[in-house]
Amino acid sequence: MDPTQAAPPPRASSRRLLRSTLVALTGAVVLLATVVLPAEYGIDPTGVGRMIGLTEMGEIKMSLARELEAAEAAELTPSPAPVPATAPPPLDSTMQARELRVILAPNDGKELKLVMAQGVAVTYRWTTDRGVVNYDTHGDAPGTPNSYFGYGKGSGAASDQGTLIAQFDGNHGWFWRNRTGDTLTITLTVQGGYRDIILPR
Amino acid sequence: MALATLIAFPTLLAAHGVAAGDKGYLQEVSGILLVPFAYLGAKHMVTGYDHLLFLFGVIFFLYRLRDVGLYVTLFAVGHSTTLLLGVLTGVSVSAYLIDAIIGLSVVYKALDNLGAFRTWFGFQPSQKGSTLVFGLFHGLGLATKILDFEVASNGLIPNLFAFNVGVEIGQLLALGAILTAMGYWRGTPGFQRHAWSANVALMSAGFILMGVQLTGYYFFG
Repeated sequence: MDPTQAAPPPRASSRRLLRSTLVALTGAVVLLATVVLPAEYGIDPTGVGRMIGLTEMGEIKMSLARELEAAEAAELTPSPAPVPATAPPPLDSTMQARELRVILAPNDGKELKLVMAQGVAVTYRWTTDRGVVNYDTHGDAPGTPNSYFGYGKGSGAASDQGTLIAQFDGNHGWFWRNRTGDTLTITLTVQGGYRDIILPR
Repeated sequence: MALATLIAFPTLLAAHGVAAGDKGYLQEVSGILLVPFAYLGAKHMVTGYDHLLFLFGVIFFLYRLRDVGLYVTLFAVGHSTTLLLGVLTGVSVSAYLIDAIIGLSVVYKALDNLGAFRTWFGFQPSQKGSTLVFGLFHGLGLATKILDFEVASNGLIPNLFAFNVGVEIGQLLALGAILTAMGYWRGTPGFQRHAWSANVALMSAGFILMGVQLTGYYFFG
């Protein structure tokens, strides 16, 4: 034997080898079906993944991957100008309160932003009609990479209120995610000196 | 692997439609960035359990440091070749299939360590040859990851070499840890007995890698 070949492994009978290979294969198939495939892809052939809570992990990962893909595809095509609100919002600052509604199906995530100049303040309040949402109150400046600024986030919330003071010229607002099993409606009231409303796509 | 980066900042991703983490960084930069690329290469190797499992199998029964060096060099020659060629030619093969073959390389090496080819077929396939050939596939896997990063073409070639140097550094670091642990293990009286079960477990891990990738290919490939 070539002296640089590995040292000889333990000798074994063909039977023992075959049995060991079957053990390895069976172990792999069982773990794949009950743990790995549910957790990675949300594929759950046995139902065990659902029982131990791993299938949801896979389903959420898959839905995030799909959303990212869709967002990337949207970035490649020239994005249309921000869609104005259904009823045209006032062009100059107003202190008039406006009420907006966002409907979220299970697992939906939607974003509603206000176009605001730096330093402008908007008071807001939102509530859900049933159940809770995860939210991320943040702003970004279109065309400027890494301009994300977080004002606060939370999970399992049925309402939130406060005053949003724009950190820079840009779009500031809310991202909501519905992880409950029911479609819900968020009612948002805003009041302050924003210039425009960008409704969810 | 791609999914792993997705779970890092799900809200940001969904809200802004841009990648986060290493991919996000690579999309924001261009030009020659040797140290960042070397770092990413090392990180990929040290945190890449598929490469580590194969390496573990390869050195399992190598006792002399010279042999370890020879086999690891063969593996490095293999994966460096396809990493560079794959990225430069923009090879488009399914990452799922490549990763399934990488899983197969783990199963193969575990069977090899159990003496399966001699027991079943009466001959020992060249271990150096298989290390080189599977090294080629591991490099193709690395290439698909880099292509997925959508790296800027400005400064690509120096950056690729830096990434490759990082892969080798990461490999040496991982190897150091594996060899140290193996050294203690081999000194214990139960090693010969445990060696069998360890390679059966290694084979099982290889089957799991294959199963995940083939399922991914079937449903999403």
